[in-house]
Amino acid sequence: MLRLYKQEVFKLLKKRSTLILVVLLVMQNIVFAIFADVDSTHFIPKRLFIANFSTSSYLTLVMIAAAAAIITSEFEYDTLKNLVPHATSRQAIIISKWLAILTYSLGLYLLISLLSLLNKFLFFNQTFALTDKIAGMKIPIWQQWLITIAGGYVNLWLILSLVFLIAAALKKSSTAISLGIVGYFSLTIIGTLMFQLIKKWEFLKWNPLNFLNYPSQLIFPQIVGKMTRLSTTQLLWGNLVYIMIFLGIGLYFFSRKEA
Amino acid sequence: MENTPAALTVQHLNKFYGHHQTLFDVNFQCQPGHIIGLVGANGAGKTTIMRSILSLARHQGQISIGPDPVAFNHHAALNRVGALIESPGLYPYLTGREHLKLFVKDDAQATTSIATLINQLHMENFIDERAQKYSLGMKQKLGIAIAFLNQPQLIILDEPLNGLDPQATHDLRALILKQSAAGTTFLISSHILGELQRLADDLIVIDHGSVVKETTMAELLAQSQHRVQLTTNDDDLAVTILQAANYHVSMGDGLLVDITDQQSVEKIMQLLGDQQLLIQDIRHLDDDLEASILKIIAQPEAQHA
Repeated sequence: MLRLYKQEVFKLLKKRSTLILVVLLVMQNIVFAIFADVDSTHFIPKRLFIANFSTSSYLTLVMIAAAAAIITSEFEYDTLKNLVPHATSRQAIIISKWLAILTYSLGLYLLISLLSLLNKFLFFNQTFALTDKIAGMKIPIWQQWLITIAGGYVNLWLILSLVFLIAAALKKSSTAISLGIVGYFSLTIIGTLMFQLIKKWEFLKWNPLNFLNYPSQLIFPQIVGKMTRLSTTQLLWGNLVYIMIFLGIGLYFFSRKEA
Repeated sequence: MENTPAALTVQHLNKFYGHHQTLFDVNFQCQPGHIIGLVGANGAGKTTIMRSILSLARHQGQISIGPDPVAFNHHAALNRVGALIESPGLYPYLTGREHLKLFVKDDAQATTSIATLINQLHMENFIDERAQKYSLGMKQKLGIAIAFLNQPQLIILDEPLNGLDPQATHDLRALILKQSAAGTTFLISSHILGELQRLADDLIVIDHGSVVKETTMAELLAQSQHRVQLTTNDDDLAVTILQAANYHVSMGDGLLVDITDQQSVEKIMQLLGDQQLLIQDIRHLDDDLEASILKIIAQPEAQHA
């Protein structure tokens, strides 16, 4: 398993797109910090900092593409036939891929979070302090920042587990990426409708899209909680259960694939 | 020797695609250190057998590498197997050397064994280029090198000569013979039967998903038809003489005479010489592997009998 994991990380690091996308994420992060420095009316520094200067959203798109490609490229390049004889089982192959993506996502989150912190001290040291509070909020900025990162990371894996499932079932990168992105933006698109439906039929609160509200509810537990009809703890466990279910189904599909 | 387990054992192998059966109760063994040729027409089932051995395809039946069974999703024993199946599966963004680093076992000899393989297959000129720029022959060489990595006990090669130039074919032949002498077992499928004839110790002939012949190369060639082509100063008289001595003679470009242990070339020359016939030219026209295989495939039932 360790050898398979090392192979996946090796391939990930050798892909040109990996480095290019990391550079683009870093540039986007810095450019948004500069925007906030230049025009703090339209680009509010405190809010941008809490959202890692919007890089978390772009990072999610990068991770969706990476998670889809790490599975489907083996079918596209016909390389699964090299991996299977070197592994004890197909399950070991897909688990090594999850672990590689887990490492990649943790690394990227760490990178952009530290970069955002660096931006804060470079550009906004005089503008706000980490211990300040945004109007109407009970917790300081640094705490809000960390909660947003943690909640976003849990949600990222809810999306990625779905992408892994689709990629393993259909072997098509484009479909997995498309559905992952649709899943990611679906809350924005049908969020209001979903809350109305949950109000009417309470059992719908258990649908996976509702669990994408986890980061928002961490920051605004009272307001968002009334709409999701779930406690913050329920949202966390729901996320984890759905992640396990999606990964489990993906594992089942992948372990049945002929190479 | 009897206590040494076969390097590969295939028992009652059947393969279905839906309701369509493509392999029918395939059974054979590969002895350690032997080079086994797997031959048959297109679609006979050679690649499907190899894919089943490598757990790339679902199948029914038992497959063992040495004493260890392998199944579709439990195949730790395949760690001792190297393979090139159909076209090489390569990552276009990796160089050849990176491919070898990716699959080499992380031990003290890793760098040396990679360098040796690069040298043996003459890949120095392109090994540090990305695989997306490779020609068919370069890809094939790299696929072969990956199969040979980590000193596997069994190497499975499916049409390894595809795209190889004469020098590369020579290099591969030398490498196979060297590894075989060191104890590695080979299972090779190839349509280039002349090359297989030079390499293989044993042969398994597949037709329509069944094993129709399992033999050694020496035995097969010994059973094949041996003929001589004669030109004399009086071919008509020569025919009469030889037919009177119960030789099977046909007229082609000269006389074509079947020879056996009893009806040898020496006796032909003696018979014709006794009648003062002058032999102007004589050539052996033995069946090669290709002709032998074609005969087996043409009459599979006869071979089973």
